[in-house]
Amino acid sequence: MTSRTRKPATRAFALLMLLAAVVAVIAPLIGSSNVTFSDIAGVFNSEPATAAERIFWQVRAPRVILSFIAGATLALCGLSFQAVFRNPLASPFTLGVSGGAAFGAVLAIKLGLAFSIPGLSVTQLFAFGGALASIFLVYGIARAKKGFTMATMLLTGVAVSFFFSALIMFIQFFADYAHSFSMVRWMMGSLSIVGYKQVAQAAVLSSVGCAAIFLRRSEMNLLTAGDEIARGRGVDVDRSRASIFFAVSLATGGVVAICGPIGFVGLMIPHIMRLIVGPDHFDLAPACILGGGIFLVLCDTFARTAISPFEIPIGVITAMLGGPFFIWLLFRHPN
Amino acid sequence: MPVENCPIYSVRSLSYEIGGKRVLDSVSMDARPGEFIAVVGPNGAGKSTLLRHLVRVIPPPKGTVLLYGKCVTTLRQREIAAGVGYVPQSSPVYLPFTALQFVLMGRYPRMNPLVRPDDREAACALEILDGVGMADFADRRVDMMSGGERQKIFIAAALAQEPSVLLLDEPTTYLDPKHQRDIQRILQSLHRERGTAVVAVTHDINFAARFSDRIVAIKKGAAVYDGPPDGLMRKPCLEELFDTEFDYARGDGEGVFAFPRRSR
Repeated sequence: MTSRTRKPATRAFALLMLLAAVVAVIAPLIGSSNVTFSDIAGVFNSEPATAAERIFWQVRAPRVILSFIAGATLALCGLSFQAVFRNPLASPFTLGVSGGAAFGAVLAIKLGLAFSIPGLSVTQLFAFGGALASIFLVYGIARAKKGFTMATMLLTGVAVSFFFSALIMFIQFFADYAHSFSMVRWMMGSLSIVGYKQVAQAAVLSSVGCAAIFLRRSEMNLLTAGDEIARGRGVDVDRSRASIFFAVSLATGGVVAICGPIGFVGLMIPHIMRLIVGPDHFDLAPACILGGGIFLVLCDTFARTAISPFEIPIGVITAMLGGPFFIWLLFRHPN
Repeated sequence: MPVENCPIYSVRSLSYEIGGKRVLDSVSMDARPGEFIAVVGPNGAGKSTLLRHLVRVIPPPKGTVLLYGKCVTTLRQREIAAGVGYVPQSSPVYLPFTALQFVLMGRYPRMNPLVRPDDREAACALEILDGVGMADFADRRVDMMSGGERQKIFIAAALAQEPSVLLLDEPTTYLDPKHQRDIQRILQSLHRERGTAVVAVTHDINFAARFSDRIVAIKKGAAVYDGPPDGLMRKPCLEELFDTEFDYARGDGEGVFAFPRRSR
């Protein structure tokens, strides 16, 4: 905040920025077949595209961009929910978003519907609908109770999540093996896309949501101190909270519809960034965007290269890499 | 906004229920610019609830609370916070900010919330911290501090709002004698030197009697006394208010002190 307290954060930001740049350049070059700089330069001349060139521009680059957007969005949404709920275990999926999205996707797979509106598959549409529905459901239920607290809301979210899991298992039980496999696979998350259409879709929803969250950095600081203090300082708590809920549902809904429910990023990246840049949301919000983006790009690069040509589901990797890393950081840090 | 002699607060027939239980019962009181008002009364009498209505941190009651002639329910939360500083009774267990960060967060109603506080704001916050004798604690985490230190930080954060009235909920309860005295001095100098009005809920009736211009006594949700301290600090007023017996002693030039009678 002042020049003296801001110093460590400035250094951390320089490091994060550098890391983001390095990752952005290196990650698309690595894969089951490595691509070199000279391979991709061909896009600037008029010769027909080589295989390597097409792999780079049509497969790797959009995938890395999508990974960064998804990671950044989930981390920022997690950060805002942890502030709003004043609970370290809150994540973008706290209000049952992943459960709702998964239910939507599973339903679409089971029904075998085949229509699509431009760019979005029916599974993605249903997943997006499910994600939005779950948040509005939880918000509606909690508000219907007079004098609801954040704890009520959190518990409602947990209850709705369990309810959706039960519905998912019910549908899975009656599904054939092929359907059942694609349902499980969807729930593990995937960043495997071709072309830029889905990158653009994710980017639009996520940037609207993230911008709305970004505008609430002062309010998130004060909400961390509790409702009574926040109100006393002049925060319109109900309005801030409602706008953050709406922003999170839009942004996570958009990301989850395309990538599936990728866990861990939204829960842990905010904590990791808190250990690095401190508790001020003016530092935390950009740090989460950089940190979440970097983390998911790294995880995805590992996921598609570790046992290439096979891909490890991204949700498996985020938790397997992130868990030990977070525990290491927790022990290393004095506080 | 302040107009000479126009009361900061006019509370009229304020009633409030929580879960069917009447917590406040038709309370009326005024607070004028520069006044030091102590609100006393037994536990559960509704003192804290009254304070919370003044700054609208709980749902609106029956009756009216006028802040500078405007009903608080029609004001924006920011507008209230620009005039009123509020120091709640308890502070959160988890408050990861440094003292400086937390005091800067008190600038919220005075600045553009979209912009990070700049070095000028930080200098102003440091000055406020210095004013409550906590400049050395600027970079320490608030939730790692002792109760007394934390209370001073909370007062500093409320002062960062540049309020014309400061509301405090039991500011000296749980504090050791030194910190009690520190807090009392801070409030006294604020009141005398800067003319800030103070409304303090307190259980320390001797503090109330010594420092306040006026005492409002609340019992079972109703205001049972509203007047100068002398009128309350005697038999049988205190006895009736607290349902217990008191012994009285005369200080040197500082009025009467009252002590709950020890059981024998």
